Amino acid sequence: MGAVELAQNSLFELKRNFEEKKVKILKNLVIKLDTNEILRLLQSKNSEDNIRKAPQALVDDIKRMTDEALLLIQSRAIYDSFESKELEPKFLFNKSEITVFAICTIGKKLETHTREHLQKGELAKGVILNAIASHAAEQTAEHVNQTILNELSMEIQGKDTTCRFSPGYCQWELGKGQKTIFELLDSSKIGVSLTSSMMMNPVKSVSFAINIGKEVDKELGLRDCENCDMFNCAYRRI
Amino acid sequence: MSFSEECKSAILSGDISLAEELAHKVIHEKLDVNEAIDAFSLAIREAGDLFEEGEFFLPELMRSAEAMKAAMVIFQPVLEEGKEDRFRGKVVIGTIEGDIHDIGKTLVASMLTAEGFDVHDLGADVPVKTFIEKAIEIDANIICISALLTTTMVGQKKLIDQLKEKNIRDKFKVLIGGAPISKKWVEEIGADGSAENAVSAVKLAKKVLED
Ligand code: B12
Repeated sequence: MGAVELAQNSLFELKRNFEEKKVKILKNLVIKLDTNEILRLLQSKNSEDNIRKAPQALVDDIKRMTDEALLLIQSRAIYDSFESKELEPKFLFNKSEITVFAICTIGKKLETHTREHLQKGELAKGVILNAIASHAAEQTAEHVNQTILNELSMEIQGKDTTCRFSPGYCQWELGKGQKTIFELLDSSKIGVSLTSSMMMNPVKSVSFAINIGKEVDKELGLRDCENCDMFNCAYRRI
Repeated sequence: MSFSEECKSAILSGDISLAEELAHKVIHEKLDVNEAIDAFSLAIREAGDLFEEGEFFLPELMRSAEAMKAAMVIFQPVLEEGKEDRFRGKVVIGTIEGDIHDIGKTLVASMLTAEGFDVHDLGADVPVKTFIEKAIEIDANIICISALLTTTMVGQKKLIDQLKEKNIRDKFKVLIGGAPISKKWVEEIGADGSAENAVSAVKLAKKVLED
């Protein structure tokens, strides 16, 4: 490669980085995975009062597979802020001043890898990898949530923020919510698309919003089960 | 340990090679295949109950299903010779079009297979037409439709409506499932039932075939 070409390339890189900054894209996020959370995803909902400890062999399997999975996780996100008063539905956004929308994903590799194991009939391995991937998607969203709060610390000063809340939760109609978010953010930049019926592809993806303002409803998006109306949820913790 | 106790322990401990060894023994020593399958089946049901009660973690149940399947593969040729006639319900299963979440569906398919159903898994993002064509082709007893989201579960209704339009609704039992499925939705679209996990899905499949 000649020197000129090299210079042009790095110029291109720079420009691309700049553009990505503008549209706020995060790539190669480093996330932490917690074996206990993965175990929780692998229990039936009746196990709450059951205090059986996970067998050590299972814990070891999970730890080993987590290392394997981390190599296939490509955590990425895109986000941006918008004026809340323009947004629908009003009951979610009317008390807010700025709303941040985000789409996060762990990419397709781990999903494909998991499916391959399941297709081979390696069911136990498949379900463990699947639980790791689900937890990783959650952790990616958590990481992005923190990054947004850090980056907007100036705007947030003197104001309150909600926890993140997602279409499909908190009475936010899934179809409409996804339409709003995907119209405002160019999800192709992180390789996420919507199917004909509003499911995100890759599967292990999460979309969410955070409201910022002097009078935001701080209960909104409180993610603990106490405030959730999915009483029969398999993952309800209380 | 009696032979059926050995079968049980192979399944409950998810020991694939022991399950295979026991199945081979049945074939070679010309023991009663039906009796052996019953012993294995009892064990996989117990594994299912242990999971539902919270005693078993999902990978433990899955390992039991793997061991069960390994044994069934060995029994299969004998069963196909038709000497032993066991009724095996025929199931067409898939995740509805627009929905690409297939883990739940795969788990249901695996447990049905482990319990001796003849399962045709169409995969994910399956058009209504494909479900119906396959069900007619293999003369299925049950159609199982999975959906993860409220926006994708509408496809379950579409499928049942199509069956009605074609006047073949009565030919099949239709079971639906997935996280957002409620009793109300089952009634609204006229499905034959729904179950919240793979273990109760098998119980339900057996029940609707008895009716
Ligand atoms: C883990 C999880 C995630 C993970 C992984 C998702 C995945 N699909 O792999 C992540 C964090 C990525 C995620 C994202 C989202 N999620 Co989510 N998620 C869950 C959670 C907690 C568990 C789902 C799961 O993986 N279960 C394990 C599998 C094995 O179970 P399953 O597929 O349900 O299958 C079992 C049964 O349903 C049954 N079954 C399945 N099919 C069939 C068929 C028949 C015939 C029968 C009888 C039985 C049966 O047996 C199966 C095996 O036991 C559920 C809540 C819950 N309690 O279920 C919410 C849930 C599914 N998610 C929900 C939502 C809204 C979302 C998002 C849209 C949020 C967002 N805006 O980003 C996204 C959508 C992702 C996408 N691709 O579009 C909602 C869906 C309801 C709705 N409004 O539509 C739920 C129900 C939570 C809620 N709000 O109550 N999610």
